[in-house]
Amino acid sequence: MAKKDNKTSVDPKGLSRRDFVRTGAAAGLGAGALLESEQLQAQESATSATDTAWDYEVDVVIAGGGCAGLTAAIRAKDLGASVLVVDQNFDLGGRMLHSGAFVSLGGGDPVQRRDMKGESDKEGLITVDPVEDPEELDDSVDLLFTDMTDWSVVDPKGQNPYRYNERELARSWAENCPATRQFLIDNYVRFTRVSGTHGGGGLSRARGARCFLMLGDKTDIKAGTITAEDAGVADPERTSAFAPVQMNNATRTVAPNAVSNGVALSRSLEFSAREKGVEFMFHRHFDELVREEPFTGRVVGIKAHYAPRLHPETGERLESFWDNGNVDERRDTINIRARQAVILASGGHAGNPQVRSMFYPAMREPAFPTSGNALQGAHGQDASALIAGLRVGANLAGMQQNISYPTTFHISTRLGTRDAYTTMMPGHPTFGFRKSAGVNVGNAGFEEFIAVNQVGKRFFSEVRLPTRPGGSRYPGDRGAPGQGLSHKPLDWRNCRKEWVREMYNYDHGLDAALALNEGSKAPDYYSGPLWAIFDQEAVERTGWELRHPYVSDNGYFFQADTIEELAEKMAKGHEFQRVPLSHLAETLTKWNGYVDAGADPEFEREADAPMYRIATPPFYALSIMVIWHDSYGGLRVNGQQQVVDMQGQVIPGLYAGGEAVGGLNKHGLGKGHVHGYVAGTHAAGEPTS
Amino acid sequence: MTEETDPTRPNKTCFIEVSPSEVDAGTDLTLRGRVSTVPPKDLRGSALTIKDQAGALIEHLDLAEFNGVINETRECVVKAPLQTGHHTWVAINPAPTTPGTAPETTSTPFSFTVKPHDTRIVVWDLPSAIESGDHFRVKVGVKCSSQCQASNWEVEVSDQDERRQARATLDDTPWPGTDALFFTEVTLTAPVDPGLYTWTTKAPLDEVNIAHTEGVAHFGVRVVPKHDCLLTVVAIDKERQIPIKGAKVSVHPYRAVTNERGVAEIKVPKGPYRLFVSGKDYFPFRNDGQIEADHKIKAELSVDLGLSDADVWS
Repeated sequence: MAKKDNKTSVDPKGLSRRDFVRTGAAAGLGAGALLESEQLQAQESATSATDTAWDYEVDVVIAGGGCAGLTAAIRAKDLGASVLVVDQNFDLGGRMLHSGAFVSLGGGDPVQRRDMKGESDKEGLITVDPVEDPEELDDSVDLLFTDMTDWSVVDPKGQNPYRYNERELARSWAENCPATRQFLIDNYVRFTRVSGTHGGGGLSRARGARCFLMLGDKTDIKAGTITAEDAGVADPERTSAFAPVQMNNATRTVAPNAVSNGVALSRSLEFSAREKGVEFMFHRHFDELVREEPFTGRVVGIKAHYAPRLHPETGERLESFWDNGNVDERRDTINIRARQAVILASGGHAGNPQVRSMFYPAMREPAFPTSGNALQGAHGQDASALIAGLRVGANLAGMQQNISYPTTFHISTRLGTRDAYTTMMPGHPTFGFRKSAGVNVGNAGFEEFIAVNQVGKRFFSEVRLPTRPGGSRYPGDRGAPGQGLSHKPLDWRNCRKEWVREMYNYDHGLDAALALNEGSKAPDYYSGPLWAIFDQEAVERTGWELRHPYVSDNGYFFQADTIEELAEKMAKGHEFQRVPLSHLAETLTKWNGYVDAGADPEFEREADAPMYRIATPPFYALSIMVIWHDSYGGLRVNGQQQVVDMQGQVIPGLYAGGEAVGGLNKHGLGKGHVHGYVAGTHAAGEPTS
Repeated sequence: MTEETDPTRPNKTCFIEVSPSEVDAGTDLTLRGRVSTVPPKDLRGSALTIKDQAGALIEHLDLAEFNGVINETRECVVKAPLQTGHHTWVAINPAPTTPGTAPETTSTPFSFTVKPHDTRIVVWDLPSAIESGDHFRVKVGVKCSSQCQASNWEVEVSDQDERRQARATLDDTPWPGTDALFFTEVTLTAPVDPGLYTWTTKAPLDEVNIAHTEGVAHFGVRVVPKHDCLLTVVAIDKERQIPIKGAKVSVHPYRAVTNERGVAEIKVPKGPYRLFVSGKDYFPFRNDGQIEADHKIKAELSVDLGLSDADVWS
């Protein structure tokens, strides 16, 4: 990568066109001049290369170092390109780092074939037998493509997960799954036995495998080992800077002492990328694309600003776990020229309440962040790729698919923390943004309390709040027509009314939680935070540990001598509690009356679970979080991951992948890695400008 | 906040910010004053004198800051009056600062409301089912909204016909785990006829130093007939086929908890029943039926696996 000498974008003695516009408007020029000024400003709604002085120059610039970006970076580097990854966070991995590492590919990929033959991995680490029968692994690109575009499948929410997938994108994805699996293996990623398929990955075959490392005396990616401390398994209340989320036992699908999750995937890829010479610029938010002209010509670079993530307690800048290949650049805004291509892999829009509200207006409520917000920070999943793409004329795809995956948004069973989607514990530097790990009460724990909204009123049967419909995937559940091989693709019976009625099982508790209430005020009518209210007797029944690190004085947990005092503390102490919980005491009195009577006339709780009086002091409140997990709608791309404009034309030099892209209703990593692999391949093949 | 413009000196405006505008008797009241003049004048060195409606001095608030337009005092905490009701105090500005100089004072009234402290009552440890005519015990706790020491206060429990059933004095130590919930335990006698009754408890019964609202709490007393049948429940982990200790057994309104062998016994009347058995990390087991004699039920509970992060977030 070349660092340009001319670091400043504007000659201090002269005026750029943009400066001219601003100066002219400020000087109060005449009507004609102002009109010209407005026209110029309209043209400048996107950044053009004409005005841009470059601070850095590289063959391929990638916005985002998650599953799509990191894969694309390695691939492009392998093919000879110089690569710079720009990431808003302080460390690599994005969501991949604290994912479950369930990489669902297929089409006859190498781990499917390995397991079909009953073989171990090359290093011989896997000692257990295959989990799936050979016929459940006997896959092909054509079958995978058929599955990914199967019009006939209807899920338990009554929606169609595959019908609306972009066909060219689905075909390309299916064709590149086997190669991507091999590519990941070639870059130190070790896969468990295949077991099931991830949501959106098709019904017909088993296609998913997780990533693992073996517990050992030292952490050595080349050897495939990790220490218990680094894996976060040495102490149930500690994670590590290496692994923000505690790794899971993978004995069943690998061997004793195997541990699995996104750490095994993300750190392995990162190690490989750094080893191969990919460069990284952290703390830098991708802002804009630079095109030859605002709406025409090639995309030739990006503009990005410095947005350091600081330690929540010390105020020091957070630093990546490894640093070889890091470019320490702290100027405010810089321009990076891409000689061959820009790849957008900076994630989706789940962390941007204004953008996500186009799909569910109630989710404009900022009280509910996207998953993993402590690790990713305020700029995580903030729709940066979507916003930048739209500014240069990109089209969108699959926007409606945001509401057709069961975990896109849901109510977490982990209470008492703003970041309710992860098992992160103290030991990772971003734990301080969470301050509490939360209390995971499980589904059954919801019988122990009443759930109230921001004014202190119940809104749904508590025990039905955390229920989620299953995804439409192999081996099938109530969302799938049949099990595994018995699924007949493209059969009209898959969506016949009788079957849909039988398998429909969506509980609308989340929708009731987001409903308007007396505290919802114009113009946004926020529904406000949600609370689990319980008493000391519930604590004794359950053994919930209301102590650090599970809860803290962070506004997501409260304790009080009386219910009235509890309401006062909550109103004063929670950042999004905008109104008093004026109905809470009355709600509790009413609830205790229902318990005495043995019937809940409002929500029929007595049909599902026992009911308990809430009367024994002290009284407690734990926050209940609605989580918008990920994004399915996004930029439209073709089969080469090239971004397509609203006239159906490719925007030259611009690629995108992962959650930045729409049109493939496939959950998680399997989508992102293939997108990255394809984008990296073609970006590196672009002519150098 | 009160804003007043002195009619004789229209170029001077005084604001008194009062927080809270409704305050518990005798508790903290925060005042902050702002004075502006036209043209702007730096009044630092002078003070606002706060007096109550009887003219008694409350406090001097020094005008300590001037931003070029507005003079401002720092926040000052004073005690609200003990007498409840609407109060109007005045801020006199400026106070004389130079001996022998006639002060040019303005008087700005401001108002707030003093209210009695809330009395909050909690009733707990109430049996879910009481056989007709039996004695039973409950705990009654009282807490003042402004943390008054409620020990030695009197509480009263009356039945559905407003007949006093008990009167007791609160202990002088708070209920464990609470800051200042003072409590007592009373023994009561259930009505003879089965049914659900609403009883009432009140406090304080006598006048206390500072005005308090009368705290009232209602609670349900479930009176049941003598039991006919013994329902024995054996809670088992469905997958591992081992007993579940500590499982909660509920046949409304009767409750029990399983022992080490996973067994709980409940005496219930003949007739229809709905049984729930639930435990930590288990989904509830439900069984509806009719009981006419002693009966044993094996409750196989499924583990609440839920969806792990790894399942969902990959």
